[in-house]
Amino acid sequence: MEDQTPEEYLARRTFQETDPPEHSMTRVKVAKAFSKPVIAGFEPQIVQLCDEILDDALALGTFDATKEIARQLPMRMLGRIIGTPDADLPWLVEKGDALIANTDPDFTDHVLDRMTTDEYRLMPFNSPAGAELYDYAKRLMADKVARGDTNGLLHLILQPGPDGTVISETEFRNFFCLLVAAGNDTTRYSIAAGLHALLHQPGLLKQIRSGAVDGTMADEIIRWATPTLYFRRTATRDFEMHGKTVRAGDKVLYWFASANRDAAAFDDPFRVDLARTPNRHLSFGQGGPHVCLGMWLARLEVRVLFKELARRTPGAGVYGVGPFADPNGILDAIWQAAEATGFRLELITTEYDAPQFEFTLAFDEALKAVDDIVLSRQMAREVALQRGVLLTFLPKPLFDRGGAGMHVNLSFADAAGNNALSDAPTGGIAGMNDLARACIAGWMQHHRGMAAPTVNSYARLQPATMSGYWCNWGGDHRGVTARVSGEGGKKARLEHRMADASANPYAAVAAVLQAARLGFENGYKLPPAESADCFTAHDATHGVAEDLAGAYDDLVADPALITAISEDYCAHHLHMKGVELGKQAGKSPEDARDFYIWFV
Amino acid sequence: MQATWLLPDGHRISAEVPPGHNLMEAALAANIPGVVGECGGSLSCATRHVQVESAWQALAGGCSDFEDAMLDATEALRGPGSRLSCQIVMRAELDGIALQVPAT
Repeated sequence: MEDQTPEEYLARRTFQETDPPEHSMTRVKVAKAFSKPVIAGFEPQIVQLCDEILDDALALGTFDATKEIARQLPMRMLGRIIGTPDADLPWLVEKGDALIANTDPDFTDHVLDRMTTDEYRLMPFNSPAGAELYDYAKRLMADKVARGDTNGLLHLILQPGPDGTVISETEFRNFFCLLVAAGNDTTRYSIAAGLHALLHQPGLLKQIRSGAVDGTMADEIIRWATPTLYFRRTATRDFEMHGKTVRAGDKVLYWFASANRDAAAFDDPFRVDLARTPNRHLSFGQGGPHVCLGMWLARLEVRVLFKELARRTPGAGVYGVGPFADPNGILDAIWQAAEATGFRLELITTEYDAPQFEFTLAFDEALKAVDDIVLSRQMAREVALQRGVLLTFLPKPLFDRGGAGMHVNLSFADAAGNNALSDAPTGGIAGMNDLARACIAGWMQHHRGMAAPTVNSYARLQPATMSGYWCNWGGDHRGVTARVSGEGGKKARLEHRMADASANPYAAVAAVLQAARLGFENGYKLPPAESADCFTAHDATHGVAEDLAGAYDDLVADPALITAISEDYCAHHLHMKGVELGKQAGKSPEDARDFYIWFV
Repeated sequence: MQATWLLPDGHRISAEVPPGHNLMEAALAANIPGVVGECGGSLSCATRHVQVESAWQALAGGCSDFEDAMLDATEALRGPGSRLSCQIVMRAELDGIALQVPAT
């Protein structure tokens, strides 16, 4: 770190490098311009800027969010506050980067510790950009004075303070450079870190969208980001802290990043908790006179940006398509690939929970339909992966969001080619014939034996999830396992909603068909249809097993179903599931999910 | 010695304040909602604005020029008894002082 000579210090210092009472002389002149009520007045402008930035970025499809979003907002807003023309903003960003990154050759040709000249040593940040910015500020102010324009922050800080003094030209120059450097820099990192958190911690977007964390989210993102990792300060007197002695004149590093992850101050400090209260983080250097001047602006920018982002990202509504639901165009690409390869994809739509989608394949004879499921799923995964997205059909990839099923819809053709499930043009429970009733009776009888086949399946198969958990049936009712379609005649069909895509679909469909056959051949009695909503109440007396081990035992306990499906196949299935149970024993739900996700 | 904070929702919280301690430190120690305290009492942030109840205003005294200027930057609009609580130091005459915490 650079140590300044007294001459350099006097030439380059800002109120960042002075203590009270000197610090307070400058602070008091600028504090009002950055106070909470004044900053709150900028909210409409920040909303408008965020709209522009997000529109431009999302239109690009694939883009670097740090560059196109995080880097844009802070400087564009600062430009509005100090009253610079929009055309100058890219230049100001470049110069601000050169100042703050004065040791980084990616941002400046005058790298601090490699410079052969001392020409700039009395300039802000020891940087030629400091000199250029000062010229710029002088021109800007001269133009404003000539126009009689007294708006904006720069005018405010040139007014006399309570003691009647005005800041000197050097102070003004240094303050302007500090403003450009600080205003351009830190909030960019908070936004970038916030975007990173949204991508890696499911549920945050939904929470932001709900409006429940408006008052707390910005501080939590800024805590987690800690955009300034540390500051160096100089001790003004001897003191002792946690057994360490610091002498007057010692240089001391404050690691804000470490304080903000202090488990004594924050529960689960590495996790982003947008509702965290209280949140006494130190990202703004709280606790002393140097507390961040721009903290209210930073908080407001972060809150508005993430609110606007949440408003326009996938999952804004169920049954959606287009860029809001699918900003990267992955669904369009899957649709085109399906057409090119001859899959009859009938529908793609968003589900209740982002980023979940429903794909519907056209019906076909059982074997062909299952072939299509297997091949089209693989195709969709490959198309998404080419765009850097891991698409999964796992039953419950995100534990706090909706699961994904593989519902089996079936009907039978009689010898004449008519739909054997229907004697009438109308469907529903009233339109069922004996065959339909017998199929459902078989499903009810063998409910537990048919249950789904991976550890992750039981994260989905829970009561009150519309998932095929309960042993029950009904008409147009998503809370039951066996659903009778409201359509009759040629379209009459039954739906079994238990299986998921981690099943071998050939085996899952065989189990559904064989249980239905047993119901018909053995004349099982059909219990009454479910009459409750299955969220607050249910008639069903049992569901599926609690876990894969329970489902294993349930299949063993159902020899009739085993014989119907095939004893050899079931013996193999049970052996493999026994091996899988051994492999998964003791794993967390997350680890089990991460094991499966590469396969399904 | 004691100080009482009157919250915007009508609640009152009283706490013991040792002499020589400022009322911002005391509010933080007593977890008074709305008194955030960002700069540690160094007159840099105006986040601990309170209004001294009228009966106590004369005893608490007026504010310095700097405090006066910082009060222009507070979150809630300032009133006749507005002070930054870090600038009021507890002493015998202020035992029992009452402060209104403004709504934000």
